[in-house]
Amino acid sequence: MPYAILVVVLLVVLYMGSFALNRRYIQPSDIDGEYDFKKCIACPISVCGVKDRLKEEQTS
Amino acid sequence: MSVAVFFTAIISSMLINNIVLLRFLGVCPFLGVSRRTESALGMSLAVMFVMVIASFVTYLLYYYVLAELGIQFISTIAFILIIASLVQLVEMFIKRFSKKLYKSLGIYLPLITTNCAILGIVELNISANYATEFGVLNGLGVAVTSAVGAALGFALVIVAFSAIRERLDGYPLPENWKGVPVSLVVASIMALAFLGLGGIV
Repeated sequence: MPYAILVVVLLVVLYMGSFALNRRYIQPSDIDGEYDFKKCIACPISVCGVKDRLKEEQTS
Repeated sequence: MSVAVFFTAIISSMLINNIVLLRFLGVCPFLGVSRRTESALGMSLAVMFVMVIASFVTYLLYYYVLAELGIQFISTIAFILIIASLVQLVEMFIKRFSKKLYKSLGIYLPLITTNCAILGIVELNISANYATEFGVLNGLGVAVTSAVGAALGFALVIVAFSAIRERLDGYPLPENWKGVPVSLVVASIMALAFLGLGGIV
């Protein structure tokens, strides 16, 4: 059991580390504003409906 | 171990046990990202990328860490955390080294964390018990090959489905059939077609 807790804690730390590292790299400037990443990631149900709508709004 | 084993693993996970149409995993992106072929291609590329890497890492984690310590019961939570971390790392590397690839995949990568097809394949690789049949290292090869097949199967059905949906947009369907209803009918016909491939291997 202690090993299980240790492994889970290590993996959570790994995830948090990778998340923090990823946040440090800003997205390339040439695609700034192309998508609203926050809206897309926040969408819990349809992965894609939001994305498609955003794209349509931007192209129209 | 012969090439036939790898060939069988690819064909089996791509066509006979197709992850979407026969195992019903990854149905959300299948229905949601299939409105345009371009989006479907981007999603399938991102899924392939993460599925193969996740299969490799989780297989090693299971046999060299969890099984060694006798804590296989935390495998699901460990796999979820590994997949989430991998997605973050893959996104970071793509952002850093290939702006072009990031431009085409960027929007889909974070969403793969919640794609049950990835977790499904990873769990299936473990439950298939390749390690007992082929040994741990040879089993790793079969597991990764199986993941490649599953990813190709995902790509095949999602791209074919998006092409059909694009064509359906131009047809004069009754109002209450447009959109999701006709898509679900098409998906069910595709699943029946794939069911017919069951006797290949």
